[in-house]
Amino acid sequence: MQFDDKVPIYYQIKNHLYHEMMTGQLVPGEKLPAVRQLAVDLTVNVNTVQRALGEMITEGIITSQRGKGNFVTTETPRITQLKEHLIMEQLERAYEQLHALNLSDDEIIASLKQYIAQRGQQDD
Amino acid sequence: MTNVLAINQVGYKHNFKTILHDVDLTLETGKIIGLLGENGAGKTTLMRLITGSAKGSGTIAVCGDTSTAHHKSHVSFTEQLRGFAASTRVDRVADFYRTVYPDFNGARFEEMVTFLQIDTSLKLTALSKGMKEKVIIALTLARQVNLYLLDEPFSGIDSMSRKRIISSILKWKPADATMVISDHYVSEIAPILDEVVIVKDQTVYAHKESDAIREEFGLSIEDYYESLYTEGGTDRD
Amino acid sequence: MTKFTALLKVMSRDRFRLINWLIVADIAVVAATLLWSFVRQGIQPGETFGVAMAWSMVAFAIAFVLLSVRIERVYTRDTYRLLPLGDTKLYLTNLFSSFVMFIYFGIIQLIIYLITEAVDNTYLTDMLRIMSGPSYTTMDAAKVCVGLLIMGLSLVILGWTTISLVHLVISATNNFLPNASRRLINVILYVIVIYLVVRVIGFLFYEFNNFGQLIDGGGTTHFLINILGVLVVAAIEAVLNIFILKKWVETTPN
Repeated sequence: MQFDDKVPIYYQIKNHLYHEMMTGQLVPGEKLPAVRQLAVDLTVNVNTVQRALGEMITEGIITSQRGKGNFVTTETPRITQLKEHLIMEQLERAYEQLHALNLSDDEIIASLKQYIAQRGQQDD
Repeated sequence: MTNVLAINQVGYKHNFKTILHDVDLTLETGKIIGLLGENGAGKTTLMRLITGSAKGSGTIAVCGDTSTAHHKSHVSFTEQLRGFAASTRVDRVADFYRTVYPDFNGARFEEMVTFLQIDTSLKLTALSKGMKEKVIIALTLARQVNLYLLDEPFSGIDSMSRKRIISSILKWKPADATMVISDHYVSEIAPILDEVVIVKDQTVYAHKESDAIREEFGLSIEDYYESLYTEGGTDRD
Repeated sequence: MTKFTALLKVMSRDRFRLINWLIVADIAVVAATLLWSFVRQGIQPGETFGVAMAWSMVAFAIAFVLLSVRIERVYTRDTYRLLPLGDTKLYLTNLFSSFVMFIYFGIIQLIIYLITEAVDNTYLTDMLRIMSGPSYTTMDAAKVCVGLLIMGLSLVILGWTTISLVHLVISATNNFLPNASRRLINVILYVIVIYLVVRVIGFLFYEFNNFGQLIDGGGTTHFLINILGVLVVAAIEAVLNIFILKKWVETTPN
């Protein structure tokens, strides 16, 4: 995994794990690799992995079972919630940036539609 | 004991020339710390003061103990094997370590030899720079101590070896041990560092958590490090 | 902490190999010399022992120097200085290791003497006839041998402690004095060392000249005091060395 050294590493680890959950590489109830193994796999510090997992446990995305390890939560609503949250985060950022360019809401919707249409053509 | 190292007002002069002065530094257990600074900034000297190989002023406590003889049993340093004849075989060197260091874990050493693909039947002279560095890393990490000092372990090493060495650091560093890695080129080790200590102007110029640098300044460790040199360091703390 | 036995083992391993090389070289040189004589004019009476004895002196000198180099190397190498043990233990073990190897070398030389002497004993009987007066017993001869042996070994120790003292003072001053004063210190030290060497040689000649006296028994006390003197000086130097080592001597940087 490649890191952007300008962004806190624990944050990037969280995003990496979120991504794996969204894309189904990690499924609800699945056991995560041991902390040290994750650190070696991602080439990051054990403490940083610990911090990322700690935050995810607080968020309820991961459950920690004493002596057994960490698991992806089986409460699917939490994952749906997370997905919504991530989508909101991205939209918020894009919206603010476009708004800063003095676009009205209608213009934003229009340009987004246009963009998607263009993308679709490019992909064909 | 949460502090593995406490350096208080340490200074060092060589031939009337100040190399380090007024060094204060406290390191917690279980961390990986990048010791950064230009060539000749005093990184190696700082490590040598901690091991007792260099004699300076001030006090250095390792695991709360200020006597140098005791430091040696708590500290493992990447020494360059100069005490061995060039014709000594790697397995002979390992025998030496096994005999004189009660904390040397032979099984761990063997694991690292396999992982780093070291041929222990080679003589020291026959080792390439990268291979010698791998041997030194394996010997240094095979000791079970509280503080590991790795002096420029990546200088002049190809990227494959570098990755292997970084992996073995992550794999074999005991959880409660602290490791200090000195380097003058930061980006290759930045993701594995908990904290960075920057040596500049003959002293410890800055000591920060790496994610704090990224969060507070939105800078990469490398950019932050370089900014200290270009600004002349106005944001000293 | 590193155990004394462990340290002695690793320190002696190298030195043992070194001494074995020297023994092989010594035997080869003795054999070659004898072969050369044999080819040229045939081996003369007493020559076997004489040749072994002569080369043995050279070999002893080389053994002394080689072991001394090994001793000095330890003080400035991280490989040894980083070991978890005190400087006193390091210093004494280091000295002891070389001393044991020197004795080992001496025993091998003794065996070579015995073998060459058994081959042909003309040399030794001639030498004893020249040296001895009429009042000469086996007991006296044994006393002389033991006396000289102890004196020799004491001087070897004194030699090593003196070399270490000079080396350690130089490497300690190298760390904190500017270059100009360093050179001055080095010059002063060399003068002192040369003076000491001259004195020791003078002392040796004096002892040898009083050989007869020693054999007669009159000089025994005097001789014992000299040995004691040598050992006391060596002990003082050793204490100084350990102190300097602990306080000021740094290792060669990476």
